[in-house]
Amino acid sequence: MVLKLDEIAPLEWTKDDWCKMHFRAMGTGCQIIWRAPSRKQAVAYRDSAVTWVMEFEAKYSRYREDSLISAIRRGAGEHWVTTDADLESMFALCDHWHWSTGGVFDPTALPLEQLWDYKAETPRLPSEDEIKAAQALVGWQRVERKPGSVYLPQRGMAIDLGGIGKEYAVDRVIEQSLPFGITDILVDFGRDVRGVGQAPQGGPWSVGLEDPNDPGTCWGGVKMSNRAVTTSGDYLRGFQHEGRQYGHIIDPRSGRPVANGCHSATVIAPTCTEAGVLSTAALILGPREALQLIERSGFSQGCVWQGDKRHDTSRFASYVL
Amino acid sequence: MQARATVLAICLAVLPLRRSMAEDRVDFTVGYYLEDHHRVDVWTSALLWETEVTPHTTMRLQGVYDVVSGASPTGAPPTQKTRTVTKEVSTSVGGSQVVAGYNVVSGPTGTPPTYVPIFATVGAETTTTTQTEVVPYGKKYLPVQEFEDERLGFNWELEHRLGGWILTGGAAYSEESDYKSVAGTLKLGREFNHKATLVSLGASLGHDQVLHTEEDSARWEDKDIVEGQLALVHAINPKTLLTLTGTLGSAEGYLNDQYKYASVDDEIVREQRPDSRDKRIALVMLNRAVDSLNGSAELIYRFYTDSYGVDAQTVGFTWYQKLGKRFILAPSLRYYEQSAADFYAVQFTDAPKIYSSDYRLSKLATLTAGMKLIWKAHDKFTVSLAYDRYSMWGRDGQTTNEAYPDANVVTLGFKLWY
Repeated sequence: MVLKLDEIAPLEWTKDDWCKMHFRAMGTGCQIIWRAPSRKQAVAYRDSAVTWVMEFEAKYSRYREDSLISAIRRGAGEHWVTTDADLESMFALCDHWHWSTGGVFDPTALPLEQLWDYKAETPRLPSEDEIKAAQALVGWQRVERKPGSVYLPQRGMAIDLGGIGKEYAVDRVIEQSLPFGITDILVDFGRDVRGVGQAPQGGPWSVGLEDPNDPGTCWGGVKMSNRAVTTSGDYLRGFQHEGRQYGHIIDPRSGRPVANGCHSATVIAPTCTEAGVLSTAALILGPREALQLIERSGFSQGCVWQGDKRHDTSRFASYVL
Repeated sequence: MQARATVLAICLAVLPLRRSMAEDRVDFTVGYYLEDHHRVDVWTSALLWETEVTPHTTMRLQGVYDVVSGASPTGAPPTQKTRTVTKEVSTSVGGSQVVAGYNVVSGPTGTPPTYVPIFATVGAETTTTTQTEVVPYGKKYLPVQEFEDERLGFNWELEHRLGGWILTGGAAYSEESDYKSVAGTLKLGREFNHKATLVSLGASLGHDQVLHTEEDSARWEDKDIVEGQLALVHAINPKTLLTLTGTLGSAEGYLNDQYKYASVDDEIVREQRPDSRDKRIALVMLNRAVDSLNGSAELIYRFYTDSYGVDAQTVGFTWYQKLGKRFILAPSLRYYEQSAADFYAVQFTDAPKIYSSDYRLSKLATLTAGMKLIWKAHDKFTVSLAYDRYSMWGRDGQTTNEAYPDANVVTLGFKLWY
């Protein structure tokens, strides 16, 4: 298939040698802003990055029946499925973060997410038995792997890279910019953001942080260079039942939506993958454990909103504008 | 890119001062020179075939092929990048909150962006004016000229021995996209003292052509070179060999490097060198076998002076250590220093007629540390692998150190006698 990249992701030149592009991928809006050494290099990088993202989505989206992830799901309880290098890399990250978060990050939690379907016309509360049945299909530690292939031991199990895939793509697209001589760049895939070098206005990139208590405005912002920032929140997606709000983020330990009063968690980390996993885990864990987890990771900082109170890690304030 | 050494230099370099035993052989050498930060890289390869045409006549044919690419400082002074910035300056009176403008906004992953108003001030009277200014950004950078070229060269020699006399004649040709060179050499040697002493006198004539380009035209410029060399090789005793050479040379014509520029009265213009250059070189080399250590030492001193005002000295030491019957390890160290050309400066004023800011004409020094391993794989076949670390630095306190290269050089060689 020949991608018409000029139509999918037209380049927009802003000022001096800065350019940006918007395109849709992975079910969300994506934008990249960068300073290119030349227009030729800018086009070459656009072509490389967008093509890679499209191929990445085709291979790893659970919404596409011809994807590798769907093939793994169909093979559950039946046969091994051959993986590839990118998937092996993501599985290695899943290993690490599943262990680091004490199982809160679990790429096999799809049966629970489907059970709590907030997109249904009339969302309903699942029964206790249904929750237990779905939980029985969840567990990253149960996924069997050997070099170059993977096997889900029970029919009904599935892998969903939704919690890590987009963030991984941000990191890879940043890495791909280096051979093109690009040293100043910001990648924003569905508001998962990573910035390198300087912003067009000079100095570090500034990223606004949406106020969970007043969506559409920012409670503040952070400045960063060579860092990623992601926010997890359940205040925009979820459903109400009998007057009670249920968010879309599921705690795999309880099999239920997060109900600790936290509605937003933001993490700044060296990579987008790390920031994304930590911000989701932070929201599930609640302020006390979340801050410990973020601090323990070594190079990350963050904050968690519980109601109208913000809980910060020790050095998060140094990033705040 | 102009050749760093002319064909003439090749001619003199390959003319052996001392004839070894009659033998047919093939040498092949491939080398890679890489400057730090990947500024310049050079692939070089050379094939030499030597054969005995008659019992008294030996012929040598050599082909050289180089590929060079990279970027070299033009000589123009370090430059500061600038850009025009448009700033909106807001003056607010009253109000309670100012929301800064962000590059992007982070929110719940995957949700549609809901960007905040940029530069909004709540409840205040705001006056906004737009100002533009040129501001510096980034570090200063050294202007460089990028290049990519190939060089193909051939060298042919015929050496004839008659009694104690040795007559050598040669011709050479090399070509790059912007440089052509042709040269001829003639050398007469005489052996005395039961072949323990060799005296030789050689002369070379060369004619180079340099492609000079202007914005909308190009023309070939001429350069003529003549050199003479007197050499003495004397075996002081069976373990000590002394070599003395004296060289006189003169080049006339187009001697500029058209890729080099200079800042003259704050304008960047092409360099202008004198149209003649005379040089004198003296070389002393001593080789000494040290049986007790199963090795030998080589000591070199070279003095160079020319009409540009450049005086240079080189001191080198190499130790050849035999390791068993088949290996020789040769660590080496070489130091070189030169004074600046009379017409070299970082910047010029008052419109001089002759000027150059080519760092190669500045007051500088180089240090080369190397290690070579020679493996005698067979009585008639050897393989050698050499690594050299080359460092150059300025000594005038004015030329930016960024101009001087450091480089790694790896050379692989094969010799086959048959």
